[in-house]
Amino acid sequence: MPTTDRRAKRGLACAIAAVASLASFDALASPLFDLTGGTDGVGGLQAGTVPGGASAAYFNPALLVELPFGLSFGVISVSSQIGITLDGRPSTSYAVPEGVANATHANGTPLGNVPIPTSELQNGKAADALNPALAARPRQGAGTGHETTVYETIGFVAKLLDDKLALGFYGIIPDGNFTSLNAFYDDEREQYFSNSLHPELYSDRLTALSLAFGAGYKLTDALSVGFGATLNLKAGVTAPTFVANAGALQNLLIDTNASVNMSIAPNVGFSYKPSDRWRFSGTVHAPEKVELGVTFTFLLPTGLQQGSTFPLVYDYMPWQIGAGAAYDLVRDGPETLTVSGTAVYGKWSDYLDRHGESPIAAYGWYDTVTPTVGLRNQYGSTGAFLDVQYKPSPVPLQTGRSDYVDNDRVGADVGIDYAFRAAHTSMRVGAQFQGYWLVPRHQTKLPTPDSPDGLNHTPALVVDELPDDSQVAGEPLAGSAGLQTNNPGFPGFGSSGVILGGGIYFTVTP
Amino acid sequence: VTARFTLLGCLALAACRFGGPSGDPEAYVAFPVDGGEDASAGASSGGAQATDDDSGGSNSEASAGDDTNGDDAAGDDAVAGDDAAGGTCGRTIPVCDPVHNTGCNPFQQCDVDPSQMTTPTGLCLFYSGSDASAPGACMTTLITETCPAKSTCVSGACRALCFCDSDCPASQCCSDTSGPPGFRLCRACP
Repeated sequence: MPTTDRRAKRGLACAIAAVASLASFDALASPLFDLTGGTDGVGGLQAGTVPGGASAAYFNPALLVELPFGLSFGVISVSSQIGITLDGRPSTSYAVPEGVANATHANGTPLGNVPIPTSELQNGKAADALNPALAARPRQGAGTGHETTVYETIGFVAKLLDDKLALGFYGIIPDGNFTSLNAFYDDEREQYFSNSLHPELYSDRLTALSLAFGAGYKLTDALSVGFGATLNLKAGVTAPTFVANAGALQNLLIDTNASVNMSIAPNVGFSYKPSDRWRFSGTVHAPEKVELGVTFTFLLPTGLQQGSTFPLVYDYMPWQIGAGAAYDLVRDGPETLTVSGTAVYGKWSDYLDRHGESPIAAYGWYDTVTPTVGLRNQYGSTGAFLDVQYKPSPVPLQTGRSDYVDNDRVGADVGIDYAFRAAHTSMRVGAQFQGYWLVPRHQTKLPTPDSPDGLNHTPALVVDELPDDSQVAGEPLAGSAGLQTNNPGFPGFGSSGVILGGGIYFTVTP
Repeated sequence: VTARFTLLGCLALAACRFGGPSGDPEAYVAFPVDGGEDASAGASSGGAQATDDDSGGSNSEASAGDDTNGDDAAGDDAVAGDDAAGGTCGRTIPVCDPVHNTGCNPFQQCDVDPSQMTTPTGLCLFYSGSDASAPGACMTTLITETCPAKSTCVSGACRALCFCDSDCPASQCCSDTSGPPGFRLCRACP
């Protein structure tokens, strides 16, 4: 290679490396990476074990040193079709009757979260002389799980220090609505909002902006290590509000004070090749999340001021530890056939839902190990791969109060990659397709025993929202005996579905 | 077809789940007779979830500064008035309970997870066995700690964790709030 070309290439590498350093401040956590896998090469669902493309910046930065200098672009699409079916409510005796707005316990203490009459939730309420109409909010009428999103992908790899150091950047950027962060409760409190269940680990988590960067260094010809990081965002929004008239909230006055703090969630990896045919790899990803703290203060003309703070957590990903191995079964001239396997341990027992709450101990989440196996065949300039994965759900059967919706997942990822030269430049094009099946699951709620004293003695089970000692104006409230609940998941629910994805990419290597 | 089913079977065998639910969902929580009023209020606001809510900060009264309603939901206090000073005995802590050292495998002990700032959470660690009785001697790493079970390292000293007075040694009260968020420390009773 002429000296001038080499200098130009190194200059370009340094420039891209500088841009990479700046871009690192935009790196964000994302559950999307773990669903799509590497979409820019033959990494597939084992991009932490097998070098594929710039997506190694997230999956295993140590693999970056085995990739050529290059820039890649692509388009992928993911369509989730997750159905949630609610069991029919068994009897009107479980419905919250009308006239509960002023209900109290027998000793006069308030009920706390007063439920909405079930009939008004289902059918709405007509306007009257004093109040506007209340729109119907039927069960599962505002559920999610059927979304199709198109993403642009971009990545690059830069090589420095005689190719011993590699820097990488990879991003998946959703089209349309840039990213969505939708909070919902996973129990009876959701009656006040969508009155529906939502897939806990999909839904808005598939629209997260996904940016990753990393650096790999080749310690020896056999051993390389890598370091990457994503940023955890923690935003705070304070909204001091003056309520001039509680009966005319359209006239309230409000200010907002917002701040954003960031912290780093690192990930590390290694790749070790003890022989020409074997490769071992390991990765560790620290927890990632986007936190939003919302603080309201309400000031009334009487001088009374009260406030509430609500922590919201989005896109939570737990500690993940991965280990993988690959072995070249066949190495015959231009052909190489590789078998590989990867297992990822996820510490999902630490999970925080969108309201920053952990599942209660009686329904604590499992830690999981997700295995993936696959084959890769490289023949000349053409590569192809097939990966198969089984991901057990960390969510136990939801037979109590909580309604976390999730399923075991079986999936496959196939792809092809073709390298060629044009205009004196090395290029690669490729395509991949993946399909997941969410294994059908159904759960029936355990019965909540009667509690004549009006106390919740079985807090892990479906909450009796209208305690048996409820009264209005000193008179017992009819219909309060036994269990009354608007928990959308009562008396049971099922879920299943498929997730399909695919994409194409183009990589240029100057 | 047989090969594919064999492959999926092998994957399913390799897939594992650990931990998971650690309590009986149908467990009955008894309320003291003379704690009825407060316990009732707590239960109506969501029962035991009020404990979680308050520990996680959700629905908490920030300005009013009164978080005793949710604590009452746990309902193990004999006298409601003890809450302010002595805490509430029955708390549900995710992962493991560092106050009572439950929820971990036999080889580990539970301490406070310092990475969880919004929800009081436990973390299973290995006891490194060092003598940490002297101030400045205790140390906690990602996987080990030098403090004995049921205590945590605060300002270089091991301090006994508590939810209520009965968690503390004799002549000590559960009244020190200078420890990790969501937990209290034992100190000499006033």
